[in-house]
Amino acid sequence: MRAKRTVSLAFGFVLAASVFVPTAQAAPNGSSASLARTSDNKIQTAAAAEAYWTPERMATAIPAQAPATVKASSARQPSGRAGSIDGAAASVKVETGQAQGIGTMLNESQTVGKVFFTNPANGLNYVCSAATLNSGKKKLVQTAGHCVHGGAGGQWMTNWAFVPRYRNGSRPYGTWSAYQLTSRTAWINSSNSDEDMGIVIMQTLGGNSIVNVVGGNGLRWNWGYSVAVTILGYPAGPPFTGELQYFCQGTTWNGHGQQVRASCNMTGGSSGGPWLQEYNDQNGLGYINSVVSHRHSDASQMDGPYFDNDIKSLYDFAESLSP
Amino acid sequence: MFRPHHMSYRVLVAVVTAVTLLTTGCGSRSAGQGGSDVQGKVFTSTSVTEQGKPRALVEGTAVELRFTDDGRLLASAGCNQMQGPVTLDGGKLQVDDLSMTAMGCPSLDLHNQDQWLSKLLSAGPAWKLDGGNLVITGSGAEIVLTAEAPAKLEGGTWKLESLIQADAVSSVPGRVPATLTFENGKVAVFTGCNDGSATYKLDGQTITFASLVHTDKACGQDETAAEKAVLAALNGQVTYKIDRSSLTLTNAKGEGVQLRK
Repeated sequence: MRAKRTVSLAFGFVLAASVFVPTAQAAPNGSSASLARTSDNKIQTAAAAEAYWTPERMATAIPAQAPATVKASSARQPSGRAGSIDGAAASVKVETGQAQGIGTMLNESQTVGKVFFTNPANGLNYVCSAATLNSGKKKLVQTAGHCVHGGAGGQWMTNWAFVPRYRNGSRPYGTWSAYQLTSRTAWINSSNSDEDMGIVIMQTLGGNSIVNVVGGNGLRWNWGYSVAVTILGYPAGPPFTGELQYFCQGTTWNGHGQQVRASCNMTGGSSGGPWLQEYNDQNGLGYINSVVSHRHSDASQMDGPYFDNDIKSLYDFAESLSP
Repeated sequence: MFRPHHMSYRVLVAVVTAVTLLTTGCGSRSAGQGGSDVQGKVFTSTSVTEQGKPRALVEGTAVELRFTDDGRLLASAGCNQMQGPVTLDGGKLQVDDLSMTAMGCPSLDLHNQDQWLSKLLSAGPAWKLDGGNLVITGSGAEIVLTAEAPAKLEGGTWKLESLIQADAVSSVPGRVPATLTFENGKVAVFTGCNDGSATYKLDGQTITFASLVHTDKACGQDETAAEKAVLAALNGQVTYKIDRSSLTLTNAKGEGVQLRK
């Protein structure tokens, strides 16, 4: 029921990057407009993207009703006091500084990156997404539990590396290696998807801590099931390639269990990507309120664990372990 | 631009489901086995055939099915993790709301293999136990899986894998190579820095440790963290659980370690 009322969305647009600026055109406010690339890989200007999303198209993209699997008998309420930790801006000047203010496009966030790791259970390499998370020691990165550990009977991932604002092989802020991986005991023991959360303590790179270099997002928990979010990630499964940062925007609802659900058609590779409240396109920061966990049969929707006291507990745990 | 794609996918799923219902709807009642035979067990595929011919899985991968004690099916075909509530009545594996994580796989073949297994399981395949094997039949394919025997507590070396602090858990910093070896009532301990031993008694899922002695040299930061968790896990009455090749030891405060053979 709530889904009907609240869902609005923009399907998987890639984020604009400064590399496209030379071909940008003037925006009405006098700044130059970046280019957006749609998910069918046709480059288009922001104005064209905006034109594509007519009210009619947006309306038809909204699910007419919640999926049959939703059995929310009563509206879920936050189970504890709403909490919030603020983000921190990067200490270095962020390179993306181009056009803003056009609704259906965003700049790439330098706090969001592509994750590369090996599953020691079979030696194969996989990819996920992740985002930096502000804390006193400035070393944390937030992702999904299954991007750090295989769940019930599984193992910790190895060779875990985070590349902020990865694009087409370019690594503008370098490749950061994990020092220690953390998750919820309920994830590693029983693959409980309500606790599909992971926080990674990163090693320094060139003597610097990651949040001091690219900035760190804030964190919010117990904020309710219906919040406006910007989801960022690196979808790699068809029709995407994993080479570009994409975003979806919309309002979440209670998918099932302790899961928030959003309309977003990102594919495999988006796991671990942040669901950000109050995403600020100027500085690439928001408040992480969930992460991409899984999808069900409807490929246009995805679920993330509801951030309640569990995430704050994990955050405190990871920060306590951080050197 | 995504609408036509989605529509055709949905139609395809609907058709597959309908065809499967038509072809298997009447024939599978005689199997009549209860889910209790598979609950709590993990199965790994040994052969997959499709339309009567062997179907090669991507190298290094297998189909894994786990039936959890709380009534879920966990499934994997080598990349993403699938799960959903499952019923096994009347010889039919019914999972109505299978979810799949959204990792990026090493190859398109693996993405496709995920989709193949997801569709097969979602279409309500038949299942039966044949000797020690689990046989899943549906969508023109047959998967034969074998139950995996969990590791034994005693004998062999358990290597430290995770540090547990109640509801939160971490990998081992610096990959400190701590170990435990259980043999004849005595556990040999290497904390990653210090050596020691203790006696133990088994009673159901409880191990009672006593007479813990160990050397006490100064250790580095990572070793100290590992040692603290290992010693916490050997403190008095401890709950233990073995899952595949993982051993979890947790003390009354919820502190402990997970090890791997």
